Amino acid sequence: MKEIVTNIIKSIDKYFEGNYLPVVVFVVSLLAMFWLMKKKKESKEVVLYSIILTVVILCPITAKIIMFGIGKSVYWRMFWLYPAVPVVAVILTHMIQKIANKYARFAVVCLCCIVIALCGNSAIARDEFSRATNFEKVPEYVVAVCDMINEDAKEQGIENKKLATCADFLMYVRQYDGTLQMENSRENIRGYDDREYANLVFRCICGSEPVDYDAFAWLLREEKCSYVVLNLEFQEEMSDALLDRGFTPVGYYDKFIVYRDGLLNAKENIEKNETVVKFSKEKSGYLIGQYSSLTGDQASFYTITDAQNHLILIDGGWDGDAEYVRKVIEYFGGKVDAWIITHPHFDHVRAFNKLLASADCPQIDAIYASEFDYDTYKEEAKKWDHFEDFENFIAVTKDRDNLYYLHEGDEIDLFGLKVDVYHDYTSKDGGDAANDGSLVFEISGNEQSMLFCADTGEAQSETIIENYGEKLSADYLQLGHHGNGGLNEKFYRMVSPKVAFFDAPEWLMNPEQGTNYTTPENIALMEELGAKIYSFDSAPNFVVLK
Amino acid sequence: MILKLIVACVAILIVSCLVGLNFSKENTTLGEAVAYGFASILGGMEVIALICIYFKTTFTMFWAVSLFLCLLSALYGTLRNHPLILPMVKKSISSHRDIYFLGFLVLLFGQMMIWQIGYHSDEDDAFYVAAATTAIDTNTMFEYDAYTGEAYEELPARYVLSPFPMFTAFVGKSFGLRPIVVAHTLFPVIVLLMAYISVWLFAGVFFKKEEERHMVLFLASVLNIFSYYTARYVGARLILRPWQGKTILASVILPLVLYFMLTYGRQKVLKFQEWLLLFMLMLGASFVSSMGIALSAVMLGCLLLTYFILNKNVVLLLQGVACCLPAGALSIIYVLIR
Repeated sequence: MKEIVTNIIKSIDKYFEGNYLPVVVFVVSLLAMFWLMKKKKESKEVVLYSIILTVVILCPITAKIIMFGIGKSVYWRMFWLYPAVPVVAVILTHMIQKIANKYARFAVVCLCCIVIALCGNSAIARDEFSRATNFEKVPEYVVAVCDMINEDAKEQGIENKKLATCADFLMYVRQYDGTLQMENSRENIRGYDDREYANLVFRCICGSEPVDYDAFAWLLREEKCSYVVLNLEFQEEMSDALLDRGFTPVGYYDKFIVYRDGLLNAKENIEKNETVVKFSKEKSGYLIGQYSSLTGDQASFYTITDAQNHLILIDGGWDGDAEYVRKVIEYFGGKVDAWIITHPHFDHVRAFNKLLASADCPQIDAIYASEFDYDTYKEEAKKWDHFEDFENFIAVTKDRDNLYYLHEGDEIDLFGLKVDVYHDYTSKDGGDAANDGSLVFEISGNEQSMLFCADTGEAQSETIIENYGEKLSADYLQLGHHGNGGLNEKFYRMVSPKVAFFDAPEWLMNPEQGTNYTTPENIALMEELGAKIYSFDSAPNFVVLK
Repeated sequence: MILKLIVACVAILIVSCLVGLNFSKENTTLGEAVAYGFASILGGMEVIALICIYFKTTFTMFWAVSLFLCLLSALYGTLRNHPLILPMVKKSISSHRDIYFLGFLVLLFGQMMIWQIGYHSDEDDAFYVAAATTAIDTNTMFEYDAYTGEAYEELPARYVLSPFPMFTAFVGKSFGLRPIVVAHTLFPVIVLLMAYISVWLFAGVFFKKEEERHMVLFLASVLNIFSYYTARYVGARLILRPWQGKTILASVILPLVLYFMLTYGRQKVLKFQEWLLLFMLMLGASFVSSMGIALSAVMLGCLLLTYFILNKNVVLLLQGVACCLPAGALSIIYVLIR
């Protein structure tokens, strides 16, 4: 009984929050209605109803029954049953109508409005409303981000659109789009979600718990979150961490960044490629694949595989691409027969370094690299060469007995593929420290060949032409330095490929005006030569080398 | 989009009026027809929605059946009582020519416009509006969690007996609007209108002169605008969250129940048509909010007791109690399934 009475009192406090003026006004209005409008039966009925209702609300027995039905915490909603506003309006009108003069009546009505305004509070004046920018009446960033995700999912063929988002989105996403699933919701904020992993994701993403980013990335994948939306104002570190862990940026809006799990559909995208399908049926020649970077940046990663499931990798990309490289290795059998590292730059070697440093590194039978002299490179390396990447390469390969250096003039056989090396660090003639020390090599099958130029620049063009000009012609070409700069026009004309691979994302393929990128010129040259152009936009891209 | 919203608004009002004709008599006003019709549509949807949810039909099935029955009811009401339409409309148009009505219109228009150019976020939308969006996007009814989009392992007992989000989705599908637009842009207009019709009807019980009724409307409007002592007040809810089921309950349906009893409570017995109207009001209250299941029963119970004390009319009491049966049944179902 005591508990019920306490709950009743709490409900009254909750509803009125200490301001009992409306109660007083209503009670006075009821009394006035009863006294002044007693000729009207309806007045008595309203008053009696209000009295009975008050007894029901305050009586512990009825209160207990009603609380069982609606809940103790919302018992205050019983006060909605009073016709407070209409009763006050009716009695005011009744009294004002006693005034004979219509202008005087009008003046009194105005006075009443002023008194009501001064004694009351307006939601409009209390900043409860924000300016709407759309018909949905949600913040514009919600619309922009949801539309961005839908468009990306459609392009990528992603059916499971599940988001892990920062708190800014939790209330709105599923109001706007019921096809977007949410890892977290308002229930997490209120502590009503009993799913362990969902709560962990929520606590990480909202910063209420220190984050082990490897574990966080694993958790997101375990929960099948295909998209992550972060607020860069306070989640920049998390954003960088996800970039390093295989999440690829989809786009930005205002202070928010959207990531997609780059490993999603990794295998499916390879499997459904027409060339891959054809190769798996015909089992003839060598399947060469070009892959984009999950970071959205330029990078380099190629695979070469044959009907006997031998797997050769060339470079790998950024550390954020490491897990993607692992997925690709898994797809092609889980073992690397040969891994060629063209030069120790961040966008070529970091994925390799990361995988080799990991506890579950795939089996690698042989590693081939350009032999960079430690002291010479250290001396000539510039800040943008990130010498530490070379040091890491040394560190992860020092205990391996399967590291082989390739030099200009070398010719090796890799599972029936002839590999001719035309350039390496030791044959570098001036130029850029690392880029111009890249391996330039040609792989040849029975009928066709592909020339890999890595990041070799213009400074090496004449030397390579002079030494190997007659051999430069190839069916497939990887352009130097991602197609931006690289070797000179004369060199590329001598190659005259049927297919040209640009290891470049859209922003590099179609750079904004005012930038110095020469990719468009190389694209124009390749088009003039009649080459089909592949870039990251359509990756993964595959050709068969016969 | 604006055209769709206008068409939807006008269509809802017209259909509500035509459905309300089923309960109309010679002296029924346009406002009564619209308000009762609207509440009856909600009441009818409660039955259809519960059946569809129980049998796990698609949302499209619910929509099609509801639309069919709604239009059928409107057609039946029109055929039965079409002679009442023109006089009703004429009377309604001709009678509003004083400054208080003009003042009320300005305030009403202002309240509606706030919801066209501004917005107020409420956390409850994360479920209720999302449930409507989920219904349309997945073509199901309460089979997926509105919060996350995951399939429910069992029926969400708390929400499923008052499936008001299905009405939001119904309106959205009927007019090609997203439920979130229906909730945040269309419903504020409809609900504000219905709420003030309820006030107008209440005023009509006490005053016969138009100027007096208009003054009640105007003063009620001012009182609502300045009633933001807390967000829990009915008037504050009407301004802040007009699209929510609880607001429709507190500002439209419960006042209509009171108005009904003030109109018919002194009768010795309710005719079937009148009893059915009350029954539909009670179903409508249950439809819009789970609060409505209990609150409507409490309100009607207090009103029945009032009239029993005043008139000692057992028949009316029993008829009224029969109208509380849906609330009772839903309460039992809730206890069984939760």
